Amino acid sequence: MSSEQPAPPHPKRQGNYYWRVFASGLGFATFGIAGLFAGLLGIPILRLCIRDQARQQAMVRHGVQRFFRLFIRMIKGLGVLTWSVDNPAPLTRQGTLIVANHPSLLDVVFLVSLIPNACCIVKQSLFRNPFMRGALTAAGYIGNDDPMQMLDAAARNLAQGSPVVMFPEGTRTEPDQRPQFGRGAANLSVRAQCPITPVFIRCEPTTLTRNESWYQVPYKPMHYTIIVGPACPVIDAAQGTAPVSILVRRQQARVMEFFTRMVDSGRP
Amino acid sequence: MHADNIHTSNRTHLTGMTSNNLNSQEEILATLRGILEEMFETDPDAVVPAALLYDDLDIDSIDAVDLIIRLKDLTGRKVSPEEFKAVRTVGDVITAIEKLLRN
Repeated sequence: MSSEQPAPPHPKRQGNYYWRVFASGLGFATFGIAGLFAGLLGIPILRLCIRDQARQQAMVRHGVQRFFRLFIRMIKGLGVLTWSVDNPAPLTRQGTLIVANHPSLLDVVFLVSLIPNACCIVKQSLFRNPFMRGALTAAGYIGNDDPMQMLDAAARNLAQGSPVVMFPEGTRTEPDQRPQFGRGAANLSVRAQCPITPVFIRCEPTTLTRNESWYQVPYKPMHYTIIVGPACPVIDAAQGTAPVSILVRRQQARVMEFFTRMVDSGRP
Repeated sequence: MHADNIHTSNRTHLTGMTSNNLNSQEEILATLRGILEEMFETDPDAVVPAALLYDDLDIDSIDAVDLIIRLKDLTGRKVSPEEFKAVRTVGDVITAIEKLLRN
């Protein structure tokens, strides 16, 4: 129960360090190859066999969820990481707007593995990545280059019962910083009148941040903690005369308050 | 209730003022100050020509679309988002409004 000491600058490497470097590389390779095969073979075949687009999309989303779950189990089996999920139930509800911080590259993999039929909002540049384009398009994921189109498409998904996953930090957070969100999620929440389910992701020790390469594995296997917080209610857009942009700012303050509470209570 | 009334009357006043007085850059700036305060609670003193919309005034891309719609109402002209692609500062917005009014 003693309070944690700050980590020394170069903690002693634990376990099979070089094995973990190899296993991480294997993980990345698996991911890339699976993406490529899905894009080049799996999805074109699916398109030929299943004509109905809604069914196509549902199957791809199901496939992505299954693959991500398999993937994190595989890298856990290889000794690269461990994880725990606190209160995953709200993630499986229909039409939930799920908003998470973004400390590492694997956040979306963990989240989507827990969410059936998830629709993700992803960086537009990923749609230009040949390894990912096919799967992203077939899964009906949404790019973020045109903000209004993004909001419309996301609101449509919520109305149809698909959970929508957003990382409003836009880019991976630097370690030891409180998450700073853009207002995209607050905008979607107010315009679609949908409460926000906040998810706080923590990875100890930090890894795969923006400034690290895949082979820079931490001194010990990392542990992911995924905490699903209480729903953040949405401001009622029907009452009052304030412009939407003002309501969005109020909603943004609310979301940040919810997150700050989660971050602070989740700290050692 | 009381505060609400004040707010509403304030806004009517602003809108009434904005429809006509757009003859000079100063007048456009004054109008813009009112609009930004009303839409985004931007401090009017911070709205100067050199201010960057995103970095200094916290106006993001979604806000910009809302602002363009508002400017459409204001000028009565069709505003295409394309014309606002290069807009970065308050000064750019003023120039864009001037251009709209001239066309």
